[in-house]
Amino acid sequence: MSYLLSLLLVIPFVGFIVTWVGGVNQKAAKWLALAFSLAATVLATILLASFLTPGLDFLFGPRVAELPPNANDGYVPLYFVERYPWVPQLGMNYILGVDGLSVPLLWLTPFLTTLGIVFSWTEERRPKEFFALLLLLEFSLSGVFMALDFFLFFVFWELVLIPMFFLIGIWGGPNRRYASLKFLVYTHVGSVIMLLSIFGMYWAGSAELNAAIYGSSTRTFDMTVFLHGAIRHMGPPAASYLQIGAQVPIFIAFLFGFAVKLPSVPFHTWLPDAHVEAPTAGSVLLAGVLLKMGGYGIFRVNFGMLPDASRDLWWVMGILGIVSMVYAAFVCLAQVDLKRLIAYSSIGHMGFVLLGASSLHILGVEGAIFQLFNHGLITAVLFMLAGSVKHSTGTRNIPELRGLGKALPQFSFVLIVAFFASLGLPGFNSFWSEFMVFVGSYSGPTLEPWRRLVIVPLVSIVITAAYYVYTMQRVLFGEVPEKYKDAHDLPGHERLSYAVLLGLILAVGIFPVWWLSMIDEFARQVLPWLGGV
Amino acid sequence: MIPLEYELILSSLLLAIGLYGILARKNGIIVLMSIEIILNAAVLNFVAFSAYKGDPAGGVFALLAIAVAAAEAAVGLAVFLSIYQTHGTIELDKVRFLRW
Amino acid sequence: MFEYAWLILLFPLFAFLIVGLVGRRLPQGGGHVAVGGIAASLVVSGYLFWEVLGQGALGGEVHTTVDGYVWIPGIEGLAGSQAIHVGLLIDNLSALMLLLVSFLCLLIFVYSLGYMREEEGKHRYYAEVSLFSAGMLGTVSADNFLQLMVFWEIMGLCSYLLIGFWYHKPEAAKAAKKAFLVTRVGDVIFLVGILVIWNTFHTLVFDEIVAQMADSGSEGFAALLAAPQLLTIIPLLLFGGAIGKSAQFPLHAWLPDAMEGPATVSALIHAATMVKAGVYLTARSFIFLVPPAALPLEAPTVAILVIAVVGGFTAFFAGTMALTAYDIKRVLAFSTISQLAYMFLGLGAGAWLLTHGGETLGYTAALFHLFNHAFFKALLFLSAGSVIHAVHTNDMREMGGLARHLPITSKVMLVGSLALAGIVPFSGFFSKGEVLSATFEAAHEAPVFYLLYALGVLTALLTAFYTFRMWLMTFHGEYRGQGHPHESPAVMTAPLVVLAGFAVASGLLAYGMNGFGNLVFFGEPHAQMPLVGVPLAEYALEGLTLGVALLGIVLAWSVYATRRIPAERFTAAPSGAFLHRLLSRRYGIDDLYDAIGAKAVAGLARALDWFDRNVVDGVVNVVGRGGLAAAAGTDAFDRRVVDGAVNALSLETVRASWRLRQRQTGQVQTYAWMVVFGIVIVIVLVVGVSWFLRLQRGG
Repeated sequence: MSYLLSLLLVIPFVGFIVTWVGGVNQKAAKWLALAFSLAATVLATILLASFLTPGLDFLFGPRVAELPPNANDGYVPLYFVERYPWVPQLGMNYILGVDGLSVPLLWLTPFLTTLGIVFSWTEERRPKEFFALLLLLEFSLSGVFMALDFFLFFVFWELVLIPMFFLIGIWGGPNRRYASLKFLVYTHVGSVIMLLSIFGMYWAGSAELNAAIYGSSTRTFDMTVFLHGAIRHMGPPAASYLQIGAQVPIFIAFLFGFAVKLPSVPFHTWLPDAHVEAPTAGSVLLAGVLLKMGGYGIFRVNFGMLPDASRDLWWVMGILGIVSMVYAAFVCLAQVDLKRLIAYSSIGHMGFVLLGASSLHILGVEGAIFQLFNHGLITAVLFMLAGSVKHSTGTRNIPELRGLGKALPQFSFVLIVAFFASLGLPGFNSFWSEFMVFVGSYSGPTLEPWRRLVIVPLVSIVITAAYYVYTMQRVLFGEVPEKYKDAHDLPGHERLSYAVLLGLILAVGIFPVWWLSMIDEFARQVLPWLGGV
Repeated sequence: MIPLEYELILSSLLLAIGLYGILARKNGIIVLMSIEIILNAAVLNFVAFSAYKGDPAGGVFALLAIAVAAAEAAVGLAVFLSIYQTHGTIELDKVRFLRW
Repeated sequence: MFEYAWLILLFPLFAFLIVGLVGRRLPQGGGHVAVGGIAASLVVSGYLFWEVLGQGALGGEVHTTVDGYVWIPGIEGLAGSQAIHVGLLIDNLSALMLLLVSFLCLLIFVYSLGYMREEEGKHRYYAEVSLFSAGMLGTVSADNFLQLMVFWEIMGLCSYLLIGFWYHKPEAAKAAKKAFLVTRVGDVIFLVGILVIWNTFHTLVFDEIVAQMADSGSEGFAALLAAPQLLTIIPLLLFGGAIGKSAQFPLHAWLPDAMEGPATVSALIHAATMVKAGVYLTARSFIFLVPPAALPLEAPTVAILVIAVVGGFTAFFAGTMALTAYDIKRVLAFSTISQLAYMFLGLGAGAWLLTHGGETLGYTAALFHLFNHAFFKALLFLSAGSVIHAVHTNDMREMGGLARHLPITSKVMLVGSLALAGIVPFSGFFSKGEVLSATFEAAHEAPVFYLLYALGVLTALLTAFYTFRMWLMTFHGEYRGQGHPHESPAVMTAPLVVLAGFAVASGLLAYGMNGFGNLVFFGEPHAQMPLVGVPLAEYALEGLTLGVALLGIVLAWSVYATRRIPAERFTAAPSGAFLHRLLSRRYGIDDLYDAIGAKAVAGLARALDWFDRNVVDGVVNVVGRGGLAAAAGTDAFDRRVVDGAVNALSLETVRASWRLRQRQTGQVQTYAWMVVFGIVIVIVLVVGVSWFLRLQRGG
């Protein structure tokens, strides 16, 4: 059994403790945190590389899928699986495993944490706790993307809230107490409803399925039981699985939990407040990785384990997605706080994920998963920019900003690139995911009668372009006001973060197939019932 | 040989005298002396039963009890001395500062 | 075979990278690197063109694909579905376009070395124009629609940045925004077109689409038979993209404002790149407009007519707006819209002819006009740039009499004007005449083309008039501005002279090599396709066009040079004044768009923002407050009832302890009594119990 994934959990957790204990001053804290998150990034990169090339197999062994008994009946390939009993009496286990869905997100987690640490290099306020909490956040986020046991999954899912709550509540802006509490309570409500559906699956059929798959007739929280069961149910011959009557309520409850996290209109209002108040590194991780938990959950749980309900209820996701895209685009146009604008744009971009999921077409689903990754990269840059502009000029208020093209040329360069990347210009990564979502939605088997409705979210593309271009017009163009004459441009550690992210955005934009091959493998093998396969 | 009963009756009398002294007399020194009398009643019982059973263990316990009694008397006297120095009396109904 | 064609794209891209990264430290802001990059492209394009010609372009056709790499993996199960990839399509059209674009870009870049010498941020300029040229080169060499769109959008990005080059000017910011958003509307329509194509054919490659349309066993063939309207919808959607990029009605509003950037950028956008991409896309969409004979469907006449009508109408519409413009570059911008519209008219007429058993005349004529227009419009814009360089204003009312101060510029601009007006033997004459002939010929089948032909002829009159109005206001008469204008340096005039040579010769050149039609054509090659029509009627048509153009020049001369017909008399009349105002306000379309953009969309945005803050978030807050109220209620219950019980219990405990501790008297003898009492009880119990037990046992 490989120990690579556990190592990815242990490193940030040890880092969290070591930073908290050993971060006697700012310098020690940040270097310790950086060392641990860099180590995790290197490991995650090795994991990622194993999905792209066999060249690094000598480190942790080749990538081999874990085979359940009777694998010929169909199975979901999961790699680097680790299984240890935890509370066997209750069917709880410590199971970790990854595949093409989770690896891009799992890689993004330590990567963005590292960049967040680098970006916060000059954080002076309680640095020990700040950097330690970032590592705790990394630990819990990594856990969410690896856990293959519902109970473990839920533990990590909830654990994510704790460091985030403190990051917003302690290092946040003036209204931080309201924002952090709202964040905690709102997303917690989503989690609780998700917990109900976890118990639903536990009681509804885990024992029978466990007997069918692993030959043990105890109830279990093991997600692989449901994954294998669902794929055997969908592929010929159709094995018995959860009845559709059980799947539908479970599906809805899960979808609610994930839609709050994603977030989708109308469950989104915690997000702008949380972002506006959160410190930059917190925003980066919040938008870059934390929102992706919702998208990950939709594909892992709703699609992977509840296929019948997914096929019936695609329209719920479609409506939520389309409304999110159009609504958020219009709301963005009216924002005056740069950070709030970016927060709303995140909601719109997450609408693509729901639209792609609702297409039930392989290209749409792949595009949606790709969008999770791409948005993670781009939105990280955008939130860092909001932090930089606040740092340089003391305000994020768009009407107050003017002429930054001349005053802050480096900042402006990054802003232009990031804005165009975010509005889906070809050559940047998010163009591919958005294009695939549209192709999928237009070609998807579900939208057959209303195929032309895909025009509606296309409106959001124009509006998205409009609010970004309008913002650039106000922020970058014009004469430099006297008060920004001496504003300092990007400091070195910020430049480093931007350079790494922009390079990656372009690399993925020019060679999307590297990432898509991984996602393609997942979609083909795990969701063979999608249209177009 | 003195019958066991006589010795037990003596011991009981000593116990009764000691109890009376503890309960009725107000002077701390006298109460302390009464405690010593009760202890001696117990020692007498030890010795009596030891002789009666031909078991030397009782004598050993008697010796031990005498040693403990001596130590205890010393501590008790020291306590009363200290109380007298601080309160100017050893009348037990005056010494009532260990109450609620 | 043509793998080296990638170099044509890569050279300007490398130039972009080098100038973008280190241009700040290079002399001239890296201008020489940009020139070198595009010059290298030109050399490779020239070689490529030579090879294409050598393999039989004259009377034959080269059609080769050069593979690149995969972008999106294909879908195995879908028939006909292949990976979406990058690839180059090398055929006559793309080889010609590559040569044309790289040549014009080179001239414009060289000119820029002089024109931009004094500017700040030159490295930004050279990086962006390099990327811009790479975008256009990629657009014209793409072998599939998605790749075409990718490079097309890169051009959109660069045009945004270049139009807004002088970012301290608020008008520049506004114009850049407008250009980007208006073309973005077209791009979205284009994107829908791509979606429809993909869903029909499961491929986006031109060749594979053509193959499927001709193959009765293919999926695309079946899909088209099942939904014949697709054949109309697809080219119309693609045309929507072309309208945006080529600034045709109703998405024309961005182009007249786009001259807020430097004049070289205008030349780049108007002559070689960007707006020509729309024409190119429409030419590529002939695979839908003129379906192969094997496809048993009617040709999409509606789509063809839409293209022709939009073209004919826009030509006239834009020509009228040029009449009242005072900004020299704006006149040229309107003329660009008008000339591009000719090309669309030609393409529409050509598609009509091809689908009705005719030849490839219109298609060829439109592309011939594109070819010629590229030279003389570049010439006109660069000359205008030279004028602006000399007098530091765009307003023609502050010019006049510049022929004395700018001898070279005035002469080359006269050449350009003659070409634009369509005077024999300048290049515009040949191609414009051909477009109109094709329109006239198409009218035999569809009378609507008579109307379009009339509009086209009328536009030729307008074109000649406003072109010479511009030239006369600029160079004739007395100088009305300040300062002493002087001629531009040689680095600027040399490209002008070269371009002037081409403005004269490009028409004759193609005429000489047995007609442009042997080089660029659609469908089966006809050996020896002469460009200029043979029938006598067409000579009469050419004569009519020429006569109209001459009339326009004479009119302009008498209004603006001799002032025999004073313009004031026209504007004094109420109807004339109204017309003047209408044209100056550009028919109010810009105002309408502003109203839609600023009022309607922004208003909706504000309304939704309010809704979000107050209603959606309000609900959340109400739920939150409800939760708090429920919490307060629970709290009260908790305090009064639950906690009350606890408190009562604890209070009783306290009271009991109070009573109990009364017993702690501190009297040693009280305690002693209790001890004795306890001992007595213990003794009584022990004795009593043992007595009782003995009693039981004993019986």
